[in-house]
Amino acid sequence: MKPRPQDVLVIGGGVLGMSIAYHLSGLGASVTVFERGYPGAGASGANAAIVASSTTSPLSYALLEERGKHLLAELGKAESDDALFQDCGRLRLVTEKEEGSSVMEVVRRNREAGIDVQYLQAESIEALEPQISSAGLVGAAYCPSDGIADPFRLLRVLLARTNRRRGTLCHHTLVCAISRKSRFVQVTTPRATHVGNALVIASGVGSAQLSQQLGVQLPVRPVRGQILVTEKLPRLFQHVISPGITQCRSGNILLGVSTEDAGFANENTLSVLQTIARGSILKAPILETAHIIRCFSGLRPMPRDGLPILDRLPGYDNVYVSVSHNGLTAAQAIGQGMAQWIAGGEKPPLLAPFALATADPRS
Amino acid sequence: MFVPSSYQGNAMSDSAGRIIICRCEEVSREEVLDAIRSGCETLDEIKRATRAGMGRCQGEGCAHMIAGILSEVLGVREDGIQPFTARFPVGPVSLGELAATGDELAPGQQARSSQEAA
Repeated sequence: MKPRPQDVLVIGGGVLGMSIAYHLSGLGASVTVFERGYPGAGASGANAAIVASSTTSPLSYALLEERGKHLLAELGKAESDDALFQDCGRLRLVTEKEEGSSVMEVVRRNREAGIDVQYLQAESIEALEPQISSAGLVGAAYCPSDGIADPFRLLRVLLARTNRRRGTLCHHTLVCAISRKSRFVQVTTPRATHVGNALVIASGVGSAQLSQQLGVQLPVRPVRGQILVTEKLPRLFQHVISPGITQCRSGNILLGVSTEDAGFANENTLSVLQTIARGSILKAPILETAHIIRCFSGLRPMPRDGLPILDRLPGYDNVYVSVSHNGLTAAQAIGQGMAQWIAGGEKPPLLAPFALATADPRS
Repeated sequence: MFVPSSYQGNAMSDSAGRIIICRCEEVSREEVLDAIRSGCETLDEIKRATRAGMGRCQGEGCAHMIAGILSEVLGVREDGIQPFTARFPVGPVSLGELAATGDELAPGQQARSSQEAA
């Protein structure tokens, strides 16, 4: 069968790839997403599910996340799904004096830009979160509109909405090769060759390897994160406690996440789990008797400067890349912006600062 | 390794008449079927999509039933279905115990690699 030129081919069925596909389909494009496993099999499914823009720096990134958070909340409302995004609020604890002044500065800047965040002194924290030990606490940034998302629910919603338009997900489909063929792009899978007008690489830790096939070195490395999960517990924490304590709707508490350079070794290690356990008990002594039922680890893509890469590959006018260490919060803003750009518009100002050139000092 | 799918010994109906496959997380047979229809092909994928097997018993009670459903729908042999990825700790331990544990547990207790959200 002769390959039919699809409008856009997206590699990666995580929150970024699916969000771009969803917004593209809303602009009338036909989209095919290739996912090597099931949506969320990579970094999108291996995180603490936190949605937070309030203490992000630089401001351009905070604003991108703030926009993403609002779009995510709207999507949850449109779906009448409280679990898609819960704006339970978040406390970002500060335990070092020097850290306190830099967090205060970020809070001031973000607040001036319209993000609902304030800096609390240590003594006000107990009223908000009685289980958090005040020992060693300097203060906290408090944002009532940050919260928790359920990445798998989000992916299901995005998939259902994309499927209703002209979007297809090829799950369990490994991309073997990508190439350029005259003005088209070509994606080869074990089953077929697909041709498109544009290609989006949103494959998390796999993005560097794919970009390399087109001769571009993407400055992205895998970073491992480990998380502990407690049994279901009565409501102990009303807010997300950063770093490292998130009580989900289900009652389970996620502890962690670590940030480790371990190459592609995706496994749990006792020493890191113990560090997480000790740190959690210090922050919230009541957790000492909580039972751990599971742990997991995941690999997340880390761009060299820590900021998302939302750009076209150099030398290509129809190959785009979208990679972020923490994509959940900004996903809907990235999806909307990338879709507008790919569908023929200009790169939206909100996305402009996240260029490959700034992520790669060679250029 | 799994008992035949006709075995529904651990399944029970809730007040709405749904057949509950995973008791810990209250996941129904219909939800498992939905996950398979949407593209899940393994126990681990169904676990992530539905939370079945993420509860206190970590799939002890539901793995064989989900395998049975998978086998029925996809037409594959049950004994060829990969079990849930085993996770540290195999039985619940308290956070305090974990924090106090020395290195003696390290060699045998490294959990297998995988990715998932709770």
